[in-house]
Amino acid sequence: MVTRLALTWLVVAATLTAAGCPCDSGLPDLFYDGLQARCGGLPCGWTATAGDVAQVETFHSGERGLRLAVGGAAERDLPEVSLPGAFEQGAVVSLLVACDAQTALVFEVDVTRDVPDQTSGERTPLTLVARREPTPGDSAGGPLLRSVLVLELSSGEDVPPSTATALRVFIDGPGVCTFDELHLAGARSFTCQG
Amino acid sequence: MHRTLLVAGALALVTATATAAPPPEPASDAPEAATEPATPPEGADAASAEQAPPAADPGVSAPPAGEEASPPAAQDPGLDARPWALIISGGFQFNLMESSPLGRQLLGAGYGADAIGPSFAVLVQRYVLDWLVVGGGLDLRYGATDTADNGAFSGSLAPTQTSELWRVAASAYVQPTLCLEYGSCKRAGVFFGFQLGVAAGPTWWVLRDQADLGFHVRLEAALLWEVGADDVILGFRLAHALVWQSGMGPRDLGTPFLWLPATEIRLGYRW
Repeated sequence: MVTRLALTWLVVAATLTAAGCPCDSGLPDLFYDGLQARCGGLPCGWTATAGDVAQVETFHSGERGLRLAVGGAAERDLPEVSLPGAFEQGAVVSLLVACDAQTALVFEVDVTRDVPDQTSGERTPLTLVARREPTPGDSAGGPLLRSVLVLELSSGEDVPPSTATALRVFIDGPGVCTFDELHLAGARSFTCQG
Repeated sequence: MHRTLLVAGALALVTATATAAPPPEPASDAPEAATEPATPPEGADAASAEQAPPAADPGVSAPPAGEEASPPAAQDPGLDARPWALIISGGFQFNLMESSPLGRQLLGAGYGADAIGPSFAVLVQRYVLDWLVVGGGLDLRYGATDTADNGAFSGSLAPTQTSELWRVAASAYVQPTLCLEYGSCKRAGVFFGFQLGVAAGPTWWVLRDQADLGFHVRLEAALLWEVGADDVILGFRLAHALVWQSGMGPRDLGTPFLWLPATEIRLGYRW
């Protein structure tokens, strides 16, 4: 009897261990742009606002992305993407990127607060910024590696829960940056702690 | 997987060495002639012919005096009579490793970098010595990896993509072969071989239905176990290859020489 009971508990424990992890451990994906579709020399939905901006083949002739050079800047509208606030560890920009040395890539995301400001009572617009700093040995012609950049307020305040409506990207430096496979994601990955 | 194949190969080598019987009968162009009685001198009778010294025929030896001559050997097709073989081979191989610019790029883009896939080869080989085979042919190797298991995002919004590597190569090899059953390998037997080969040919890297073309070179060492019976061969091959891949695509992504293992089953017809 004791053996049967122990066996039952063992089966229950094994079942719970196997089935008790209903979540993925990755970052929750909120928005994705593969930059594949072509509309007038740029990825569909994008507009060049300054400098040299072009849609180019990235790591394969079937894979396209965006190349910024000589003060290049581009922007696109977003379909109202809800971004988590600081109490949920905020949001990130995740992308494949290769930049020349001394050239940074900067993203700015226009958002509106989900909760009205306590003083003004309005859902004020804000701009979140994510910046990829250059690293020694970087080359825009090398493999594109995955970077995850935290979206922050330039004031340093905690990021409130918000809704993103537009995204801008530009380079800061003398070289070239190429990027591909752009995601906006929550910064807190789910863990399997029950 | 690499380590498992290496250990398996080492164990097999030890096994083969431990169980190997003496080598097959030495190569000879005229084994039957060596056992034929010497031709008696003209005019001598049969009795004197038995005691006569062997005929002075260079390259042909006769039994020592006083030893009874054995009858001619039975007609044995043997390996000497069937030196050629057509081999069809199929199995699995590692196609790519992450420790390369190409592998790192695929990994960074969310693909698995260790692509395992099927291989297929058609080969023709020939015994040039009793213990040595030379051969060559064409082989096709395929490997695919996709982004379905990309763990970077929970509920990724990106559609699943597949990256494929197709490699076609012309190959040549030499293969010292040891008979593991002494005295029976002429007609049927178990063979153990060590193969050294080289292959080269084009590579197609396919992604989003577009192909980038490259070139690869493969240096390969393999252990073989074969069972042969008359005109049929069935074998198993365990190989480890050094594969170099030229740069492909807009970023010239290739691989230096990487160790990639392979296992294959071989079926052959010899004539």
